[in-house]
Amino acid sequence: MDWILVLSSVTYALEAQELLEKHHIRSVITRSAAIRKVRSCGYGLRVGGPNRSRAEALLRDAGIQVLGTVEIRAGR
Amino acid sequence: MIYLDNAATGFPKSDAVLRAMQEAFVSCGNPGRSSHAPARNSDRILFRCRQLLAERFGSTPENVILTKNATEALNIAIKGLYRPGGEVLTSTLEHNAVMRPLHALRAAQGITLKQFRVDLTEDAVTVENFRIAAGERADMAVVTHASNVCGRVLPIPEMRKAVRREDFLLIVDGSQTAGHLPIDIRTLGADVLCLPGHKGLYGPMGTGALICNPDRVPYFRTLIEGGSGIDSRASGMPEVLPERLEAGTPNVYGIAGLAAALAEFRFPEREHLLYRQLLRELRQFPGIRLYGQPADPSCVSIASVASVASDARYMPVLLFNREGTDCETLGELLAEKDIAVRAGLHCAPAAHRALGTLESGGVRVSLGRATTEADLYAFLEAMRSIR
Repeated sequence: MDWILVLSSVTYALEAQELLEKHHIRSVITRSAAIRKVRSCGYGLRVGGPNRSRAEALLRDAGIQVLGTVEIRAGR
Repeated sequence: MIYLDNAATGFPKSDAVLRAMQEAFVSCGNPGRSSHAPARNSDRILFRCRQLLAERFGSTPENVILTKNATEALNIAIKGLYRPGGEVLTSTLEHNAVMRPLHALRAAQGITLKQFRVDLTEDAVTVENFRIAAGERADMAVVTHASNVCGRVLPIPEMRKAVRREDFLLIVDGSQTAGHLPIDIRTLGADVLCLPGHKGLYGPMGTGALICNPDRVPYFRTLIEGGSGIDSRASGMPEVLPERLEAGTPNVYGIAGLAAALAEFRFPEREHLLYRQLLRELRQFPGIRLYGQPADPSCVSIASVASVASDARYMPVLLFNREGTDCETLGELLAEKDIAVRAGLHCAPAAHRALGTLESGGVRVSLGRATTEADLYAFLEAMRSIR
């Protein structure tokens, strides 16, 4: 399973992606339909399941708000 | 051509700026709205530009709002932050980009507008004038960092220290200092810094930024509303910066150019020294009257860029008139000799009033990173040849 960390905007998504990269966590910026479970439209970062907790913690420590998390099946 | 109008826009721009704009022209889509490659290219360009501005001015990418110029940034800040019925303070050296939004608010929203006098020789007097004018009532000040007419730099950090009230907002117009002086918004003491991308930073025209102090980000009412690419079902603009203040499609090509300009940016090394030299020459020039310039040219002497932050009291901008020749006529005669200066009121009648040139206007010479000693002597030679 992958997870989407829903973020406030594309600016925060890019900032978050850079931060995770520095910590060797690969992520993909997405506008997946799954984001609609949290807000009407916007941006999220897709991360692999094992990285979810660490990624969330890193973003929280950096002051980047995660609006919600959505679980998605790999490959979707 | 001898270009001495850098206070209007920095010229020439570099090839890297042009290339970045050309590349964006053929590779970019509408940013912040889609997942396809052209949109993502734009997303990255905008983010890179925010990062570079944030690094240069001491903020964070999300607190950098990209605008079309400093005027738009100032309008967003002033109209987004004023308190209805409140009191706003401004200086005697302001540009119309500050004065006109404030006059509009005074007429429509009943704000009280108060001016404090900038002393052209003693910073301590300016600070005291500011402190007294702020009193206990002023909620906000909008002040230029340096005059676009005479180049005088205002002592912003000292002014901030003189009015320490937490609810007092300080908006600074960095149009003439961005790219000329090292600026950290926190050290400056500003809440909001508005700047053009196309003057001292040498980006393309049509670019600018509003930068918030990351320690004290104010809440903005929106000036314009529209598409933001996020939270589209909401009836209002998103709460989050920068998108809250960036409705509609941005100037991606211009922003690509600005990012390229910022990536190669270096503080100009010679312009302050050349300014001192020109000041000395013009003082000896028959029939020339200078306005608002330092009495002693050595006060603009600087050893290195590192010392600029604490030492510079003038930007490399000179205002003068020549006895017996109208300023606009002199500007045209110089243009005929392929020398670019700017004559008139420089969109800053308040500053001209303070300098005593509201009726006459003046000729402004403004130096930039490409200005050479030879340029200055060509200008002086042209002046001598005009009878």
